[in-house]
Amino acid sequence: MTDLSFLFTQFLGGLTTAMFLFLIASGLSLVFGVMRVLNFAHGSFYMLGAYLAWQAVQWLTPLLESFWLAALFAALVVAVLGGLVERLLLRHMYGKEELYQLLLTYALVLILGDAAKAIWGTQQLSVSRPPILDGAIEMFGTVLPLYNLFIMLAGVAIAVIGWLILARSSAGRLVRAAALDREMLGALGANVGALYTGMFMASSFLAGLSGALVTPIQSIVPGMDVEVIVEAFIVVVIGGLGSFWGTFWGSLIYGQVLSFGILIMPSFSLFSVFALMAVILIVRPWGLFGKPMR
Amino acid sequence: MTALLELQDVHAAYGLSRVLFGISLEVNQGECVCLLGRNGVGKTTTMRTVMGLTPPSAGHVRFKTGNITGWAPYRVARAGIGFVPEDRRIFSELSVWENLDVARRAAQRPGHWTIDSVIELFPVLGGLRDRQGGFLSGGEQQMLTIARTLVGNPEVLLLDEPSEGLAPLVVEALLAKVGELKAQGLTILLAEQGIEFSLALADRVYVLEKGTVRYSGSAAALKADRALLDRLLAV
Repeated sequence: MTDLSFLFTQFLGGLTTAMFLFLIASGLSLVFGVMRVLNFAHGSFYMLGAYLAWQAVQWLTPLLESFWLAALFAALVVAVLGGLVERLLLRHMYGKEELYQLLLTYALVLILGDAAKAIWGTQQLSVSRPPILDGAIEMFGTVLPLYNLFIMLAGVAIAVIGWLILARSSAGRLVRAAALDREMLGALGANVGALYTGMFMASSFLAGLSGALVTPIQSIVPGMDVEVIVEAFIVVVIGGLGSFWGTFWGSLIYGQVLSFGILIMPSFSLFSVFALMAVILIVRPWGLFGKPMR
Repeated sequence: MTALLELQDVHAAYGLSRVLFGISLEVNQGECVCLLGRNGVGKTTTMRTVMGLTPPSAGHVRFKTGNITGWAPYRVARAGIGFVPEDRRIFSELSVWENLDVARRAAQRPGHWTIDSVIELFPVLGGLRDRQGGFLSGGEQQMLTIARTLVGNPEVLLLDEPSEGLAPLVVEALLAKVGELKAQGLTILLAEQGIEFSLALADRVYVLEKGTVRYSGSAAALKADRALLDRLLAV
């Protein structure tokens, strides 16, 4: 019985990791699926979301303690920054060799990483949990912090909302049409440039929001940008780049493999997920839910 | 009377390879004008320059007395020029209904043509509403492309080789539908290789050769002069 509850603890831990990564990777995957842009700076937007949330909490503290307001502020600022990046920089790279996009977004990783160090220094920062989610609940003998439960539910909510928007709304239909044939959509009268900016802002918003939401459970440090982008890339490669549900399942698989892989090989925590990614790349290079490139 | 759509000495190139060398033509309100010519003479490129998909390197495109040269394709479409591309370019993973809905919202030009009224024109699409575009036959796809452009309520329809790759019976049905559109007063610029389709519909004809206008005149005159036709379109 103790064994079972221990396994359940690992399972819940994996689920939290999974839903958290889904929040981050969904934006990355969306932008790749529609715009064919592999945005290395997605992790940097996540990091900025974390720092900005911390900053907003500091500013707000004397007046009111609202973690949620701070998180929203951080996500919105990052969304605006994403919009500027798309409009002023990325736009000039469409239709050119993919290498240029990679170089550009990688340059942004370096610039934003250094900018964060210059503004917020290199010490660890942290944000306390919002009081309403401070407790924990017990499930089958396992203690689950309420905040982790919230992250899981947020991940599921984003998955459902994102899917509903893509599959059922007119905006979602435009986005899917843009992914299939950008030029034709433009010739039918859609302002695809504005659509791209909007998509990139939505993706940046998700990155910034995830960064803000991580602050109560992880300390904010330089280097968190690169760490998270590697994880997010593994997730989307497993699931299939550009596939929405692929990213969801990729996150779930990643979380569980990481969580149980640690049990088997405690000293190589990330080994199991890299091994999984390697196997998937060999068997299905386009990922579990992706499609072979045309 | 000024032309609804007018090209003045339009030149165009893809990179270093020049395709159009000074095309001038006009399309009047309510007319069906046909660009005739073999493969590679510049019919598609002429249409792409109008849409802004391949901006002209020199010359002007005018629409309703306004200069639209160099406009982004979406502005050209919203001004009232509808494009039906040769390769159809259905959104293959969207259903028939979704293809129409996307086009309607993209063009933002409400009018006579709605999803319901284009399905009335092409009843076969009504039975395929939920079918993915990629699973339609060639003829069904061609009807969907035309319907998709119509829901944007264009004032001019650019119809690029609609009969290409279709079985003779399907071509005949399509001819009847395009004839219906013409009878309703829609202005059409048609590009064709085959003379059956084009001469049945067109009021006037421009024969293109190597990116220039080789001949222009009424369709009736061309139809009557078999020798001229042979000379112009001989392989």
